Amino acid sequence: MSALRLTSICKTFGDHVAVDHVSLEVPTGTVYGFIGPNGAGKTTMLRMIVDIIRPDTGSIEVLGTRDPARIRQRIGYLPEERGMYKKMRSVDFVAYIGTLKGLRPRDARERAAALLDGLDLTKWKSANVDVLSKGMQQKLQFAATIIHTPELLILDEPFSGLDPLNLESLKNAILEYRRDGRTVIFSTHMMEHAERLCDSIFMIHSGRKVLDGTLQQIKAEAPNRAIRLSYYGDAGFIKDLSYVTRVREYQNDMEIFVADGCNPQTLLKDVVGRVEIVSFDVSEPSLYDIFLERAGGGRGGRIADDGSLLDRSGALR
Amino acid sequence: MIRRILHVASREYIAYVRTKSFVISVLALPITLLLAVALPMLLDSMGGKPARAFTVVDETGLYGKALIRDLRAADSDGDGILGIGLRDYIYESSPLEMTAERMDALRASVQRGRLFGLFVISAGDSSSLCTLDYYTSDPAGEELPALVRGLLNNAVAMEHLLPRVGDEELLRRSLRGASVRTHAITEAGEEEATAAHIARSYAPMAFVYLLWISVIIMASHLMTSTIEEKTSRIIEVLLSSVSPFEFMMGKLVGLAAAGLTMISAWVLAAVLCLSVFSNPTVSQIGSGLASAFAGATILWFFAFFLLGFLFFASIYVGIGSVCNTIREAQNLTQPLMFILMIPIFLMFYVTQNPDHIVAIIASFVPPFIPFIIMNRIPANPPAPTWQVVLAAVILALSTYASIRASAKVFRIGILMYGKAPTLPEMLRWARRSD
Repeated sequence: MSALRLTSICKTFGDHVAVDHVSLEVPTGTVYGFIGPNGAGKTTMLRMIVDIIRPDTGSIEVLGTRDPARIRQRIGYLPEERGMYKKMRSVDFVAYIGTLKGLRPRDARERAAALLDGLDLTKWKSANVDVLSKGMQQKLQFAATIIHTPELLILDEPFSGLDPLNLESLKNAILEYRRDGRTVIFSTHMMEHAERLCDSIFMIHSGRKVLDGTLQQIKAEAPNRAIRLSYYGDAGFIKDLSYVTRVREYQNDMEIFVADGCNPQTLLKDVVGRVEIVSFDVSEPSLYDIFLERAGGGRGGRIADDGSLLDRSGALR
Repeated sequence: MIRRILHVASREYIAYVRTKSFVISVLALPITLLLAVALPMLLDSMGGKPARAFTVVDETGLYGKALIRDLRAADSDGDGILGIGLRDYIYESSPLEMTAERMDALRASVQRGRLFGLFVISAGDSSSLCTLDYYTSDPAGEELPALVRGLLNNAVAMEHLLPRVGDEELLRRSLRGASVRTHAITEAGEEEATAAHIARSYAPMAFVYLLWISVIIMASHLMTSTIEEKTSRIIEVLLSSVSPFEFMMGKLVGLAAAGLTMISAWVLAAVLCLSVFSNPTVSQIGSGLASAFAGATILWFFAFFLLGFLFFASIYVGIGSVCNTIREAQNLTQPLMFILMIPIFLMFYVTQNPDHIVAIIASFVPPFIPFIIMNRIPANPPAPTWQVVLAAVILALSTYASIRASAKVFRIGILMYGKAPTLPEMLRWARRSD
């Protein structure tokens, strides 16, 4: 069963098309990263999944059901904009969210107290939310998100504004969640987080899906993969190989671009014996590069060899 | 769903009941009542209140002696101070031989404030036997001149009629006139009219006022707290846990409970107040109010309170959901505030004329129903049962419609930031199918 299945959902706000016929399937037990430039539609997607807003068309199935009331009980949602009742005791706030999620009041209080202990907030349990520091409030909000041990965790920009310590513990929490067989979806515009945490990536741009798949697939399919070859000898023949599209030559060093879909191992076989290989490095494109490429491409441009963004005519933007 | 609504409601209730503004609004009425009743009694019992001095000058020489004798007789406890109404007056005798200089001196002492009042009896004109001139620095007070005039009239009659009638006792009794006894005939039978009946006749206004003030206090709190939840962005967390309808209903139910708590506290305080300061008048007032609040009336009151409260509160919460600042919300609620003022303007008139055609029509116009009908149920004649039931049905349907419409507006508005929509836009959302 999929944790999430979106079928051709659309959402417009006035004249603005926020999400345009997006379909997506998130398998249970994976960490799925939603990436995309600001305003691409990430938050709108997440809000539709948790039924804060409804899609204009299309269907959303979460954890095998379409009943919003049942969905809400089984997901944990951490919005980008954090908000809490300022005049509520911190443990009460977490327990309150727990009861709304269907926990019995007494269980919710016990769970809330245990969670705050686990987050080093023991001393602050009885303090009002507004006396807590920003970092402590973020922990509190996370505790409220997971108090009912949701099967699906949805985090909107969870890493923004975290200090390195909290950042690490959040990352660990996400990985721990996956180890328990639960599903995590988070949005981010920081590619290094997505790259280090996600099994799969979904990229949205101007409301349209531009990428979707496992990290491995995405990188394998990414065009313009450069193979870096360090060698001694005459490597002039390489640029004439049928599947090589382009080379950049340096002193005893070469960046080779092969045709899309061509396995770099083919190149290695052809090169072995003809030059003395010092290193053969199939450097994977970073998600960062892919992001730039896709985000630029979506606007009708592409990434130049040196990484700068070109528009369709090839001029530097 | 019900369970989640109740969770939201209990949080709203506890959060609001703990606020300073709730404590203040609960205490404000009892404290005002207490001060209004207890303070004058306390000051009175402390004594030391200055008695106002007045004197009477009789230029005719015919009525002064009798008048002064009667004045002294009116001072029943013989301490020289006349208690008239809430004030004390003290009679000072004036010199019998009046000269122009002495008159000027007396007028001057009125001007200086040493003397509160100066009465001068002089010969009358063609239509009356004598004239009473009253000089005072405070012409607004009517009790003293009324007393002196009454006594003077008696003195005049005694002076001129006694020689002809000859029977002083008969003359005095004639002058006293008929004694009026008011008998109240109610369902309970015939009884003597007391302060209870006056209290009873004003009880409908108490109902209207209780409902009105709690709607105003609670609804504005509801609106502010909705705006707060919106601007503090907590709303997103909540809406990922409960549906907008559940959340809105929870808020409404919680605040309705807070409103009932407030009213109960007031009623309790009033009961305490009446039982602590028990004198015959106060306990009559108490029993009068109690008889108005008794029986089916109190059940209707709760029914109309809840329905009316939910009706207005749902509109306020809908408006709160589309606003980002209190100021925006105040602009949008101004028309509503104006509508809410109308029952207050009508309150006194409807109490006096509960079967006026306008009162009857207003009993079926949704925004006025809870006020006007509660104004009419304990009034005399009371609203017929069919009108009460019909009004309840109309209000229940309107409340259901306004909750549904507000839920739709709420769902769209609560996540909208930036400029607040106009009323027509909100009405469009409300009509939109879900």
